[in-house]
Amino acid sequence: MTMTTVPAYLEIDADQVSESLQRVCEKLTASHDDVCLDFANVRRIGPDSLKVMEKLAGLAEEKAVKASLRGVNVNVYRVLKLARLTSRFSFLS
Amino acid sequence: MPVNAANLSEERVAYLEGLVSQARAAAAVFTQYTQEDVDHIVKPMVLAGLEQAQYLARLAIEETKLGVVEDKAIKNMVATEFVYDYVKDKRTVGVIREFPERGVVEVADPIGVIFSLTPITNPTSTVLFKCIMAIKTRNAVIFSPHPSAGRCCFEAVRIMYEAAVKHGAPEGVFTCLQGHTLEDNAYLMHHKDVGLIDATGGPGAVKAAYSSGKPALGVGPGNTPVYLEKTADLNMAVVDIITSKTFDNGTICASEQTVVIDDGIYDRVLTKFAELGCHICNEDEAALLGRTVIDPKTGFMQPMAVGQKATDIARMIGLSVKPNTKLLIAPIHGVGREHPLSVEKLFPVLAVYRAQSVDEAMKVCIDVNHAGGLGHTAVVFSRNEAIIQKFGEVINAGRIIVNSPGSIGALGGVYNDMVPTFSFGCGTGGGNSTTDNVNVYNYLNIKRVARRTQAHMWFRIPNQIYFNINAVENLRHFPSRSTIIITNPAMEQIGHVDIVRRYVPAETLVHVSVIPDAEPDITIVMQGVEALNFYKADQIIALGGGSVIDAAKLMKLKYESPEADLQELAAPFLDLRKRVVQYPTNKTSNARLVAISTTSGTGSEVTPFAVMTDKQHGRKVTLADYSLSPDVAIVDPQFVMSMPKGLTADTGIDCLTHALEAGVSIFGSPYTDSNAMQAIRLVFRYLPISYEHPENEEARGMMHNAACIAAIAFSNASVGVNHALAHAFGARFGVAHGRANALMLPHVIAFNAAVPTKFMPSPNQRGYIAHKKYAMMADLLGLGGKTVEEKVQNLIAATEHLLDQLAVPRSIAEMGISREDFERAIPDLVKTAFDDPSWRSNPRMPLLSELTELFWSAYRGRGAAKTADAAQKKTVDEWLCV
Ligand SMILES: NC(=O)c1ccc[n+]([C@@H]2O[C@H](COP(=O)([O-])OP(=O)(O)OC[C@H]3O[C@@H](n4cnc5c(N)ncnc54)[C@H](O)[C@@H]3O)[C@@H](O)[C@H]2O)c1
Ligand SMILES: [Fe+2]
Repeated sequence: MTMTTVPAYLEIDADQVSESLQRVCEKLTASHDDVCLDFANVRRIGPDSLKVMEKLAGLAEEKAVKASLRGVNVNVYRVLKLARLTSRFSFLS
Repeated sequence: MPVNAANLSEERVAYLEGLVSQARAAAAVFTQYTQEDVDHIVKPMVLAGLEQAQYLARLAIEETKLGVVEDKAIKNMVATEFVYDYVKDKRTVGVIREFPERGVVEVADPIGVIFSLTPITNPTSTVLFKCIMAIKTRNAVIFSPHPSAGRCCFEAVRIMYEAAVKHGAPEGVFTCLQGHTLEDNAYLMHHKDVGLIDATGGPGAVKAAYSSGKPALGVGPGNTPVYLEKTADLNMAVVDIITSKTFDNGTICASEQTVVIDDGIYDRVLTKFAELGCHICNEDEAALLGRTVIDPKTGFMQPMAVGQKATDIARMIGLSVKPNTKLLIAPIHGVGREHPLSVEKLFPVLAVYRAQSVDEAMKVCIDVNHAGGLGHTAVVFSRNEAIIQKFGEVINAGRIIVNSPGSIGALGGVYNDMVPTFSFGCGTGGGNSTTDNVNVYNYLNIKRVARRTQAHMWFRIPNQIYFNINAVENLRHFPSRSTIIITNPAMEQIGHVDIVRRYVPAETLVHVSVIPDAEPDITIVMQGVEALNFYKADQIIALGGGSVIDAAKLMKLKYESPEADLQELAAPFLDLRKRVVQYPTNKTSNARLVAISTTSGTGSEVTPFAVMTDKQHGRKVTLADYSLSPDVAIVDPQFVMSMPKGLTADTGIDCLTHALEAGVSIFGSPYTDSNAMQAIRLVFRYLPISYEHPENEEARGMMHNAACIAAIAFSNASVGVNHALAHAFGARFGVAHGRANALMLPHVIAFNAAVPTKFMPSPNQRGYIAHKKYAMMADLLGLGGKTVEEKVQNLIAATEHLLDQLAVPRSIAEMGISREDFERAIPDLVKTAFDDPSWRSNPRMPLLSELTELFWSAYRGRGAAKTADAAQKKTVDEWLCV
């Protein structure tokens, strides 16, 4: 019998990107499940969100869980690339 | 000595890394901003800077003890208001410029993190300027002010930062080092996340920036020469120089250093300076200044004098001057170490030099320019345009300011329409990468999005072509005083010359020039030119095959333009429209060229080519230019009825090769395709008949037309690798051009129809189409086949069948050339074929190894291609009427 973990889907609120991400961090601290963040509504991210993303990547690595991002637009993807964060997440279309 | 960042403490490294990662994040986030977002931030920053201009000026004076508060305030205003005026409507995000006619769009991308050094002389104005540029271009900046201007710069950065972030700029977009050292600078200059170093400062800072290995914008030191020429408006010049040199006590590096004055106005100029409050030093005073304000050990200015008032400097060195003296003016008699005041002096001391002539004045200005000011700034006052222009040519300066103040002029936007700046690029003379007034465009990576364009094509042919039997009668319509018929012995014997003479108008004086039965060389051409000159010919009738017509083309060229150098005109080229040598357009005589072809192959009567033998170098050269095309072509089959079988076959296959090669050429177009396809159809139909039944007038006439039509195609689309191979092989083994083509033909079709090892760049074609073109030809011939491959095979089979009908040897071996001889010739053959320009329009680029293989295929012979099946062969035969 194989066990599959269904990742927790978490929608990122376009108006409160860093707060949403912060909540994901809290969740991750408390669990060992993979997470999948839905960025479909996020048009832009700011420096504060980048900081939280960095923290999130660190947490996921520490807990050896998979953090995936879904629906990231090209502009935001470029920001994550420039901030050297793309290699620390997996991306779903 | 290079500064080593390895000595930094762990805490210091952590501090610097913090600054960089903050800037990197800000820069990353900034990439998402639109032009509107950015412009929305810039305006309030400018207003904040203007508001604080005086405050920042005071801070700068307090801290640096250099300059004049009023002038510093003005500089802060220029750095904000003038810079804003320049940038406000500029596009710096996304598409910034479009060139629809060229299909090119320029797209701006930010650099990312800029590490910026700012100087002591213009501390706050430089910060304001750079902050505005950075936001306008979506970059983050880490500032490193001159250590003696750290506080005022920090404050300027703070004011800009607060205004920017308040209006939406990403946090962390500006930071400013505090309490920093050269090691900090070295660490950041080498940091992988810093994209650009913008070093405005002394030579040390600039050198360190350029030595870091990072892209850097640096500025060089100045030593501005001024030429005050006798035609200048002296009142204006003197006031401008004083205004400029006293501005912020001379701290702007573009300010005037040595004024070279014409002898005739020298005394008047000095009197004016004196009248307006300057102190003119006598020789002793000048020597005293030279000893004191310039360091005798280094030859450079003394830092204690920089940015000080003239009166303070005078007091320092014990020179008695009137109160409020604006400038200390010292005569010098040369430039260099023995004349200390000839160097840069960033304080109100100005050297003057009396020049006896314009020449001397320019030379002294060049000397000053080279004494530490290369690439920076120079000034000329004159009303003589020629002098202004000459000065602009001989002086190496990024900014040459005409009839206006050097320092304020160089800043741009006030006295002229240059770009406002606080960073003067000094070009390679100053060790910099640009001569620009550094501006927003230097803070961008400008990307070019280049759309595929279609090169202009052409279709050019002689404007009069007469064809069908007795077309020669049209000669009656060409009035001429003196006509020369160029022909060869066979044409005279056969009686063709007499026919032609019959139709030349009676009043025309006709002379016949019989040239040897060979390809033309320079001797034959020059003999013809002699005859043309002797008879003052106004018409040339070329009657013969390609050799005669080509000879006549070259005679006409040399007759009309005697200076034309045929060797030079034969220089290789890739694209007719861009080639280096140009054919002469100046003509000393004019003669109409009427070409009457007597073979049905080369089509030389309509082509812009002439082939000539270069006996001296043992090679054939091709001249190509539309000016060589005959004015009138006469395609009259009565002149080809006499062609023997061999000539009919060889010239006919040459014609087919022209059509097949033009048909797949990368320069092919619908215009040339229509001609190529029709010629192919005519050759397959009428060549076998012409060959078997030489007396068949219809077949002869159609083959004659086919040759001309194929030539129209290849005159505009060129030929291909078949001709390159044939030229090399024909020359080496003395084989007629058409026959050499024939031996290669089936192998070349197979080669071009296969997937190329190397594609030929061909902007006018969408993808590789040669095999499809061949298939189209097979369809046109009704050869059958379902797939492209089958059709190509059928075309090859039909071609081979045609060659068999014409009794063309099946292989090079069959011609009696031994394997050993051929093997020995191969290296030369391949080399010659590769150098031949013919293949440059071939659809498939031939590799050397492929040329070798093609030669060997021709040696082994045709027949390897899958023959069309019996049914198909039958249709072909029926269709070909055999
Ligand atoms: N200018 C161009 O566009 C162009 C293109 C291809 C080849 N060429 C050049 O043209 C030359 C070949 O020309 P060509 O093939 O017309 O042959 P050609 O002019 O060299 O003539 C070949 C021989 O046939 C004889 N001849 C010509 N017409 C005859 C007729 N009606 N009856 C009997 N004998 C006749 C000639 O006297 C000559 O001996 C070569 O130099 C080749 O490089 C020129
Ligand atoms: Fe040819």
